[in-house]
Amino acid sequence: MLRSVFTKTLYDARKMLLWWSLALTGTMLVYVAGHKQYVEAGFLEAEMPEFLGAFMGKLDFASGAGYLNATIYTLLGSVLVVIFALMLGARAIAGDEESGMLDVLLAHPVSRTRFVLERFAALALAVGVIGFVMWAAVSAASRFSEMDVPIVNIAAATAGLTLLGIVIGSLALAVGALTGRQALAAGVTAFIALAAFLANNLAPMFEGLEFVQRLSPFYYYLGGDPLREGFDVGGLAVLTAAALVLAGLAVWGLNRRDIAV
Amino acid sequence: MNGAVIETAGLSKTYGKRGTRALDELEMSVEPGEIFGFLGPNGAGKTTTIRLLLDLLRPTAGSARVLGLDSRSDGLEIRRRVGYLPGELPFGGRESAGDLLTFLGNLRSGVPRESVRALAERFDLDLGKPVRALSKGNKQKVGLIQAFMHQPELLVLDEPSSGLDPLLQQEFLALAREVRDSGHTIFMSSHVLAEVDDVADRIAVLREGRLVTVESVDALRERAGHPTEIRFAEPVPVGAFTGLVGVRDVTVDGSILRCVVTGSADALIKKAAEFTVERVLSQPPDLEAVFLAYYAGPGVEASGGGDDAA
Ligand SMILES: Nc1ncnc2c1ncn2[C@@H]1O[C@H](COP(=O)(O)OP(=O)(O)O)[C@@H](O)[C@H]1O
Ligand SMILES: [Mg+2]
Repeated sequence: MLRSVFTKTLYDARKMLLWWSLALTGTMLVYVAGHKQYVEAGFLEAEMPEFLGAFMGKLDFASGAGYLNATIYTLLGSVLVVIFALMLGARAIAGDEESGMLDVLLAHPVSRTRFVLERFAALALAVGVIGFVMWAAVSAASRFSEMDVPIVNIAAATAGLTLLGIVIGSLALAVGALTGRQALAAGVTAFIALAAFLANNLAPMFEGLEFVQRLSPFYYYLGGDPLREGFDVGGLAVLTAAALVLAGLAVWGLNRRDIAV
Repeated sequence: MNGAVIETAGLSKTYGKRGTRALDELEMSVEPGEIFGFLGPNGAGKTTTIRLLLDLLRPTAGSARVLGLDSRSDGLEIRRRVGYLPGELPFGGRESAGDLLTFLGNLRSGVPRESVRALAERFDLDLGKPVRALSKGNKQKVGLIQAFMHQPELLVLDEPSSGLDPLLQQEFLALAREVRDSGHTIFMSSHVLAEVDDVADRIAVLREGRLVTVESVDALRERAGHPTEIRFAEPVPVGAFTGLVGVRDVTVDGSILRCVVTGSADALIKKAAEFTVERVLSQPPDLEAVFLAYYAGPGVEASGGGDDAA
């Protein structure tokens, strides 16, 4: 695990990965495994104000796909995965730079390009692990509550969420690479993520603003309704491309400037 | 290798768009196999220079060649062959010192474990402790080990002695000498002359981003001269001693003569022999005095550096 920047980054993130995996699993179990009881107890039939639908997608809590889409994939799960990725991304470069460690690392025969790409790869793999854990937890819990959502559809939605996380994490990585400031990278990314979330959910409600939705990564993640329709290859491709572009931006950003101590 | 190990041409750095001129047209060259002391008060631009050499900073103007390679275009190859000790050591990770050193060694495609262990033993460092729990001095040891462990041709050390206790400082200086004697080059900064004058072959003095002087420590010592005191049996006339070859700063206080002898003491001794001498006391050169003159503001350097300051 001490072989390269890539492995060392994952090694350093192991505890965070473990705790987030546990928290995510617990949350999924509570929300998903209980679905059958919630339906039977009538918890999900209360009148929902119309505007909530904008935030939670189609308010069809009774069906498994509708429930998963609204509670887990639009809200809870996506918030958890996005925050996880954002934290990793913000510290990937700016964190080490603020501590002074980047000065030491880049005084070794490791090019800045290579350094950024190894950090990006570690970020992608860590978010991938979180995504895999989430897929396993949701799949298991959905069988338990007898949901009729195919596991492959859960995989499709989780793959989208994982890529969304990687996009957000790469954005934080890129802002960190451009500025060297961790708090700024986290703040700017959180702001953009929130704006993107709102753009995806609110823009369609305003005439003439529908195109704004197309700018949001959330659209390419959930727009194809993966829980009902399965893999949306086009959406996943857009997210992958966005992550790669942001990684490229990070490479450019770190190469063009002074390293702070 | 032939040619300079470090060579800068008009190397300049301004932080920010209209910020401070941290380094102003530095022209300097470091020869193979020497220990080069890079001196200057805090804020003089030492760290800036060092980080420019390693391509961690980009020059505003000018260029630097390290081991014959351009700092901008061949940074990777330079960093492969250089050991660097940063001025401030971060090392806040949870990993053990040994693991950190293994990792850093792996970034250089592996460093013999034996080499790390020998250095750790020499500096009396416990490799098993987490780096974040190490004291400043112990972190400094980790920093020194990672700089020396791959036996680089050139060591660039930013304030290597800071944080080390006197015993370890001696150990470090001994290591520096060994490395120099094996033909490698050391470029080290300090703001205290006493930390480098024992080992350095040459020193450069930097002040406010400008190079004030470069000279050999021997020449500096020669120029500083030996403060000398002679006690006579009876008062002596000051006029008898002024203007002697190799003697300056002459003062007479009754029967005590004080002066600074540069080069040979022959003229002074022959003249003193005309009187009854009770005692002669000659001290080692006071480098600090000459040196401090360089640190002071413009103008002062001329009198402090000149041979005839008195
Ligand atoms: N990142 C930076 N931004 C702005 N000014 C800086 C920065 N780093 C150093 N300086 C300024 O440049 C000058 C030289 O600093 P430095 O090279 O660190 O000096 P030294 O190492 O000799 O103490 C100082 O005036 C310092 O305040
Ligand atoms: Mg400094």
